[in-house]
Amino acid sequence: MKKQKNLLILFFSLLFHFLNAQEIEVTGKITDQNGQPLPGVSVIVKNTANGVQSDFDGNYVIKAEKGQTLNFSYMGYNPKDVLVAAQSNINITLEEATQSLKEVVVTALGITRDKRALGYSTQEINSKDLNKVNSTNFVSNLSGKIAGVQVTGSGNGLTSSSRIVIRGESSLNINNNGPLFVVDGIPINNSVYGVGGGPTNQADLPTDYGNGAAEINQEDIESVNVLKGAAASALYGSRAANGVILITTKSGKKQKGLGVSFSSSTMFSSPLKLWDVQNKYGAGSHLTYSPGADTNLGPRLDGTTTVIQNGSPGYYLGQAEPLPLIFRYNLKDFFQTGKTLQNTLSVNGATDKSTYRLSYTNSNSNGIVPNTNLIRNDVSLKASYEINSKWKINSSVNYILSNSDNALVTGYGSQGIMYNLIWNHTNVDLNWLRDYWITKDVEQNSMFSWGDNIFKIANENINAFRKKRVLGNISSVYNFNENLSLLTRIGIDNSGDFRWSRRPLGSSRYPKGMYREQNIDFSEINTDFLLSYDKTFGDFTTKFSVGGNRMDQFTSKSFIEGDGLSIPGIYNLQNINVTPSMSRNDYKKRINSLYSFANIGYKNYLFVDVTARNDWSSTLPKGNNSYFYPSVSLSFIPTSVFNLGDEVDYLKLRLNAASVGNDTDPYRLEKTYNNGTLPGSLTNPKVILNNNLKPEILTSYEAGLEAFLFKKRVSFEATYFISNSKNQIIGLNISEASGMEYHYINAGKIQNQGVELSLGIIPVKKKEMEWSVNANFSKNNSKVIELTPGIDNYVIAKGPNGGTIEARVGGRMGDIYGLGYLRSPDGQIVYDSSGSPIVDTNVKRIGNYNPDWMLGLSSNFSYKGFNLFAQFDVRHGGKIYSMTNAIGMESGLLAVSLPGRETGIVGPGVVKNADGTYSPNTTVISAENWYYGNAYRRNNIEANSFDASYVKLRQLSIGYTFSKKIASSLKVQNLSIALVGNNLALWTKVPNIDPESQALNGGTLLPGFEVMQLPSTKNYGFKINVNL
Amino acid sequence: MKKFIIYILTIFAISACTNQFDEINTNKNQPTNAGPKFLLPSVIFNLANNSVYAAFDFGEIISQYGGDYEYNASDIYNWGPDSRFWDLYENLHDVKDIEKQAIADGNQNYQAVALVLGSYMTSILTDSYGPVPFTEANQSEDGIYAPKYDSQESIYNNILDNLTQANSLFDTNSSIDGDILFQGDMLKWKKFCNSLHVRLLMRISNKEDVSQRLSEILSNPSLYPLFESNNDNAIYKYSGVFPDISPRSNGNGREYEYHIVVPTTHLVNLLVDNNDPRLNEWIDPSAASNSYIGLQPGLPLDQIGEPANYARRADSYFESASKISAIFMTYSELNFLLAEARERNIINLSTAQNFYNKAVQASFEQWGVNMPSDYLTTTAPYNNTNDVLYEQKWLALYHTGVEAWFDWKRTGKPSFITPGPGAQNDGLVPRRLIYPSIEQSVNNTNYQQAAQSIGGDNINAKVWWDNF
Repeated sequence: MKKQKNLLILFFSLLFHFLNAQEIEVTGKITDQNGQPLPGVSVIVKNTANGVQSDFDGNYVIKAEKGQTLNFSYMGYNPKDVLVAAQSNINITLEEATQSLKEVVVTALGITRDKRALGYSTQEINSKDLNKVNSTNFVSNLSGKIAGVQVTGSGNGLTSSSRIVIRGESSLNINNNGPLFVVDGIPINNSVYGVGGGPTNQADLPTDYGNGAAEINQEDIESVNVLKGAAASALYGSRAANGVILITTKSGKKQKGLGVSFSSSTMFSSPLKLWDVQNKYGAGSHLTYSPGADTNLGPRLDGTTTVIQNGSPGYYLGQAEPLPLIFRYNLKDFFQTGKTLQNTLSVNGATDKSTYRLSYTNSNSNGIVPNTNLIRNDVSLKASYEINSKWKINSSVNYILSNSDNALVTGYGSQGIMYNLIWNHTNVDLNWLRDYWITKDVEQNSMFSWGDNIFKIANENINAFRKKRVLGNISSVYNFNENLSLLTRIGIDNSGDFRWSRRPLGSSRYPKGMYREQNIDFSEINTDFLLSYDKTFGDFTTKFSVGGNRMDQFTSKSFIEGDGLSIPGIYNLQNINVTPSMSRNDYKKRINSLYSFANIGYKNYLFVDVTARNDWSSTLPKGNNSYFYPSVSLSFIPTSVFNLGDEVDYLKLRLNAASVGNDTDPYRLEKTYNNGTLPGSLTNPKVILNNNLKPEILTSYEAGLEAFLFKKRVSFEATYFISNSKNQIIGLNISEASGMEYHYINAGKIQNQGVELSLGIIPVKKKEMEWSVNANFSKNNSKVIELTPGIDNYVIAKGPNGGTIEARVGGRMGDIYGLGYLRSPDGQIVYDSSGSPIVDTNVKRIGNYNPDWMLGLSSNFSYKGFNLFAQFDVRHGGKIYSMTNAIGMESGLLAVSLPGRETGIVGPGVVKNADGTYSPNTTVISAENWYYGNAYRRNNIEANSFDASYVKLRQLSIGYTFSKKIASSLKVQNLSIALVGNNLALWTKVPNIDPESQALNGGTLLPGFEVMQLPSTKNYGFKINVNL
Repeated sequence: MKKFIIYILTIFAISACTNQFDEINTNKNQPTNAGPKFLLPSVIFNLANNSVYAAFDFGEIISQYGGDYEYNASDIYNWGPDSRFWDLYENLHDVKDIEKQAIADGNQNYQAVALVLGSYMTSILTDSYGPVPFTEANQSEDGIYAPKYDSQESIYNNILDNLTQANSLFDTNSSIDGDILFQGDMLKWKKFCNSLHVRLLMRISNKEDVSQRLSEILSNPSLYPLFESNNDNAIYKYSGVFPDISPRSNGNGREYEYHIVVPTTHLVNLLVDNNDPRLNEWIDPSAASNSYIGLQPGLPLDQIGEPANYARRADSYFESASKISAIFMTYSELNFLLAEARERNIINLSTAQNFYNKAVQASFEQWGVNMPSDYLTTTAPYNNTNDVLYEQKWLALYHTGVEAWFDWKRTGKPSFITPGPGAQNDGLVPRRLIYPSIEQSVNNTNYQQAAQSIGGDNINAKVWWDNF
């Protein structure tokens, strides 16, 4: 059949050739509007297979016949059609697409479309904007750049996770509010796999090994498109209910020069905000020095007292000299300047039939905590090949090797750095602690028996990992004819993450030492096909597609830990001398999907998209495992129909409605027993499973407008959206007296409503000077409409010290609950007879961790080769609980604990009289009982929570691109250098900490709670880009 | 080409339909069935840990054997919601599971063991909190997620009946597997069952006339065997091989947490004054002065000073992985109960002094120290008062859960348990725990009813049997 068809084509073309003797050779030069030659422009004789590409100087030669039409097309530029008359030389100037408002964007399934045809909101960041500053977690670079996208860093060291939420939280499962990450059409894993327990787990604090997408090499990224709403992401199905981050990597291009690029980034980092440590009083209590005291309620540090001091050299051997009591504590003696060196070398190019890009990136970071690092090596190859005029294959492979010799535990516990820094003495010189063993592997030089030495933690409490990850895909596009094409694709994301932890003998938590190994294997394979039919009928352009996807996910987690070692200093399985605890669990999941969609356009000003998808998930019970969801979206361009005046260059109105179904995690249907602590024992699970679970459904509506005004000097985009998510599959807490802690049910109706506004203004636009200002504003309110009959609150996550994140009917998503002050009817704090504030035994709403609104502001100024870019992030509202504050009060180390040291404190508020009335509190309470006692007890969530509003100078870059002349004199195509920085400044009312912190509970990021996180860093350095 | 496409699509379709789609979601990591012999070790081990935590971190403070030198909220009665015993419900779920399976299998011994352990744990729950879920508890698998609370009176009626039933179910000629408490010795279980029965009858003896029920047990030793020596004690002994280590001993806990509770003046002075050799077993002298100085209970935090100035819990119990045990009930305690019952003429068997002497003697034996020969004649002879009896019982109950607190609630003895100088709570010693705060979220209606029934969910509300 194929052979016959080819013969037929050959026959007809020969015939045509002979019949048509008017074929001529057309030549010409293709340039952009600035007169620069454009290489690699595709020149096709319309309705034939005849096509060529322009060379490096923009020249082309093609054979065509009179009366035929030549089509010139180039990515990012408006295509042009020219009728071949008698002329043999056709010079063409292509206009950049943005100039003419034709913006090609990548949409779901990697389909590129004209933005005017889209009935939903999508925002793009190109590589230039994304790569201004390099970061070890590229997700953090998205912060503030896109309206409605909230990125929150963690403060857990170099491998910190970033939590990203688009358009507010709609899921009652706190780990399910993130978007789907898709790289070149293939979904990738962005999970956080924690190790360790809760943030205050004394025995086993968690380590943050980062979110999966952090590993994507930002230098390989061509563009990031954010699909915010369900309509935009409906084709990705279940997992895209919270939006999609669509990443397109760079491909090879025909170009001048060798196609070799080199970029190098050198960044230094230092703590953005350190504690405000008090320097007036030393260790002890009642203004008296005491070496064993936890607290700094001791004497004035005026140097008048000379005493043998805990922590001083020789103290533990009884050989310490008396020293004057003075302030010596300096956090900068512990933290160092971090450094990240990132080098990328890439080669790319193209021939008539193929494109290729090969890149290698090495990233090497040292953290602000001594002996912490992160190393990434990343190799990627992307290539395409046209087998024939109808068949094209694409492939990309990306291998990422990440490893760290030490990532830290974070949280409140004796193994925590910040814990042992805050439980410390202001009269201690931290350098005294550098020599951290008294007797190696037996006794530490630590201030307290219940803590570890900070330098010992950094140097010996190792949490290392080595993660190997392959992202790969191969796809084929076959064009049966100009109307019908078939895409088939297989993509894989496979990672093996091997982690090990060491604790030497003599650790306060592991007196006999500890060695642990953890292995996390993950693979996801996606197989897709997509059959598309494209045709224009008169004024109508149409495209119909049918596709299918199968997703297979496999996760395997194994764990082994032995809390005792035979020989000190040897860390491996064979050196464990106790019964280790061990586990291994495998999880499998499959989703089969069929979908179809239609795109219909009328006269290029009215567009309708309809999509439909059906999923079959292995995780749902047989009768409920198939679920269908449609979407429809509409785009209308009034400026193409009506004249709205000269000021309005372009106006687009869009409207859409969509629903997305969702499944759940594996193994939630049938009861199985858990292993007990003793080997060979079993115990009932803590959860009631449910084999009647139904799929979750999210429905969303969105309306928006996009405009270009005043000769495109002003661009504006506004979106209003409302979404309802219902039937959520949640583990609802039940009374423990029922024998279990929670049960899985379908429950909840969460409504999200919000607006997103983007405004771009170009106040100055001259030939060699341009200044543009951009603002992204978003405001979102997620409301809990209902849970399930009889239940009006749901604990989404447990924070430290009794604090919870709860969904309560009528409340907002992200509400923080916990204990707070007992208050009189008029809202004053009530004190007891000792002068201590009384903690109300009823939990109350403390606040909400989500900001009321977010604003990203950026300014870009360029003059000739100079470029100045600055971006500010503003988050207004929201609360954060700070355990640093609570403990800083208890230990008396922080300046917030200074008032009333010598006079005692009278807490502002009232006491309750015997007759039930209230009178002002006049009882003086000692500083000891106030700070170390009750006033800021850590479980008083209210007392330690703050307005988390902040403004951050997120990015700053001052760059210079050398002129072509200088570049070519240096024998390079392009050369640019820049001074760059991120997180450079912070303005906030929150004391002592960066409000952009979140705790970690195992593998769950806990927004709204700061539990002795490490300081976040400001990063600054320089970047060089060279193209050869 | 078309063929090729069709081929691909067919492959896709076939593989999508087959490949055991339904089986993918089968959890092969964990078993779907667990017989009693697998569940029982978990129950006993979890109960043991709960008991050690309760004793070392809380019971000793509220009964003023020890004081926390750093986090003294418990000491000064600044109590909040408390879930320390609520967690026993998860353990009770395994107990219920064992019971159900035992009934289905006709295994009377497992059924009886489940009834005994269930009664034991339930008694601790209700004695701590007052009304607690009972009849509707542990029925989550039957759809009850918010169980109603039962009155303590009805709970006691039920668990006492259960102990009677359990006693009749035991078959001492056969054995069970998975019994890490008595190694399958059903007679020991039966003795524990009836000794516990005595404890619980005495618990309600101020509220109900229990003399007939006690006499029935005591008059039929063959039908109702009781502890006959320390060999019968219901004590879980940790092997010391990880993970079978006490939560407060080395390898599981920090030395700091073991030593954070320091012995009080009550404990140290009583032992020193009596020249009681249990002093050296339990307590090490202070690091600073090598002397036995106790901490005054309930001091305000700012008056406690340096922990090094005080005597400390004996290091040997921390260092040895197997020395701390979980003490559920002992032969000594049984005899103290009987001495009290005799003294109050609830029973008329033997003499109170006899029981008292046995009780004191047994306590020394239990701790592996020799009782000084004049201890019962000169140091602490029985004198017909509750005071000496309860002072000695208090000593004998050291490290035994919160048992001494329950005794104090019932009897007000030993009378030295009084609020310290830093005490809040209006000069009252607390009489119950506040329900875990999560109950207000997940079981609010029933919680409110229960709280109302005792006059509010506060630490001063008395449980039903507490009419002292």
